Amino acid sequence: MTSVVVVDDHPAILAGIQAWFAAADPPIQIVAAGADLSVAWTEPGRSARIVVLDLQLADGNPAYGDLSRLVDAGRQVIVYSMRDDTTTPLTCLDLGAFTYLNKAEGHAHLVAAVHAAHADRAYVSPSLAGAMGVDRRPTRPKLAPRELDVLLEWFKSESKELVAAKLGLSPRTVATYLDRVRIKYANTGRPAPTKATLVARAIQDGLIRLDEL
Amino acid sequence: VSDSAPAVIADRTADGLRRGMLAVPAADLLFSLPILLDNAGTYRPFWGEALAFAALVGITALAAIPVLRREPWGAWRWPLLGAAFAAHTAATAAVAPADLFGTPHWSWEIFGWWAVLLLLDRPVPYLLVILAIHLGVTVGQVLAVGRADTLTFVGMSILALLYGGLQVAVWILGAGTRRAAATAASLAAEGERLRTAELVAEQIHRDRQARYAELADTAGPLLAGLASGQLDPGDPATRQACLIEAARIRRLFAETDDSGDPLVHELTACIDLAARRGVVVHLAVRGECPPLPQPVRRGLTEPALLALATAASSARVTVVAVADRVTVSVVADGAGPPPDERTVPIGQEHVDVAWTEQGGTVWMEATWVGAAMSSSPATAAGTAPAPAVGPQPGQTTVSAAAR
Repeated sequence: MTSVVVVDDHPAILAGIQAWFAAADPPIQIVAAGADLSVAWTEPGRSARIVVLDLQLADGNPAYGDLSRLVDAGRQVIVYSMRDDTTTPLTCLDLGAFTYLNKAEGHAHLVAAVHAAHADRAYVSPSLAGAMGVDRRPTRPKLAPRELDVLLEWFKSESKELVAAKLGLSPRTVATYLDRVRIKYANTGRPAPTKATLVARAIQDGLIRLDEL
Repeated sequence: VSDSAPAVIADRTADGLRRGMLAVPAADLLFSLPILLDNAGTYRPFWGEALAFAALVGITALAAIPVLRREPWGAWRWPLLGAAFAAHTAATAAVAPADLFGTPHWSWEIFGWWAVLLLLDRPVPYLLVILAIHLGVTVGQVLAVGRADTLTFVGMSILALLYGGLQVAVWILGAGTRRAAATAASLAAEGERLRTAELVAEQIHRDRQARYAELADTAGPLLAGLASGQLDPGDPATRQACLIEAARIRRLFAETDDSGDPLVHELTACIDLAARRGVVVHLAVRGECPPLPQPVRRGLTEPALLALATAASSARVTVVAVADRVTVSVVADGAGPPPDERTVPIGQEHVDVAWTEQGGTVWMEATWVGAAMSSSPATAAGTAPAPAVGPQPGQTTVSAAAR
């Protein structure tokens, strides 16, 4: 059973996530949920490795500090935010977030991201892909032109089938491109347990070779 | 400080006045030097009078700096006036009591010119009060040396009336000239503003006519068809044409708005209409959009507008700006735009439009590549995704690359 703790200060969002997770296959159990970080640091929430975190809690500032502390404690943090810009997803990734989801991306992406987190496999949402695709910071990993194509087409269409048809690839190959980009990002910036497990799992799965990193 | 013609005239008038008024005490000092030297033996002591003279020469030099630099007095005004006052009081104190208001007392009437120069841009009471204080201090000095006789006071009164009257008259003349110049400047500025407003209004009128001409080509026939009954409002094709024209009109309105990102602003206008129909539209923007000329923006928004007009229930609109490449993409569920709308009128620059249909989903991508990148495709491939690739089985792709 995949168990998660959900931190979000909107009751309607909490209720929605609860309904999605109950209907997920395999089902996802919410062991604790609440409006602030205390639910993630106290039992029963403390024992859940996966944290779904609303970046913008009541005080209005992005909770980057809380995100770092959760990551340092070895938690897999799925940032779930209203913010739809370029810098926020990249900052979260640098801090070691497992992935970044925009709240407009909804049900399918959140459930898939939790399943991926449980298996330590990468998950790249369209909003995160868009941010990676236009990332021009000097610290960004080196991406192949094809990888950039896949990132941006995934951001635009939100459909691996459409990306696959457009670029003449199979949907599976599209997913592989996205995962490889995520691993390249995991290998940059501040070290974090999440990044290490992602990279280790990717090598184990044969997604990427050591000499490619 | 404006550099328009009227402001220059006003500035020059003020500068000329100040130079003229600085020349008066300077010339007075020059002519007083022989008097000072001829009567050297009469002062008590001579070095006191000479020191006061030297101080006044120094004050003249200091005052000349802001005058020649055409700067306002600022913090200089009161220290200069105070120094001049002190030097004149010292000069009077060094004159022998018997010579007061006589030839060796060259300094007394010059002080008023300093007051005129330094207080020209202040209300007249400042000048009157300063002159009165000077007179009062002089009376005190006269009494202190025991020359309280009628003859001295008559001499002083004549000098005070003669020079004081002259100085106040010059001040009034100068202040009047200043005011006239300021009025002329503001009148001329108003005239200039009116002329500018007129030119702007003309330009706006021309722009409106141009926009009307653009609409007349597309919206005009549609309205005429509806009015004459040739077009059936119940026909889905007519309805779609109306939707597209309405979106174009909305975009025209948005084009004249002042907004941080005009492309996104104009796209929002196109989206607004679809949203009113009940289509759920999600707009996401990634990257910094470079400034785009209006024809390019229109080339990018036009196909988006067509795609949105066909959306049945939901659409995803994205703007991606990487280096000099801007892509507007619309993914919508719907029947797809009519084939004859697939070539899009585009302005001076290249906008590539690609339509893809797959399983009831329409995907439109309009891409503009800036001049710097289109001239060197090798670098473009290294820094940005390749343009839309060729058609795949099971889908149709129409590319319109226009001049």
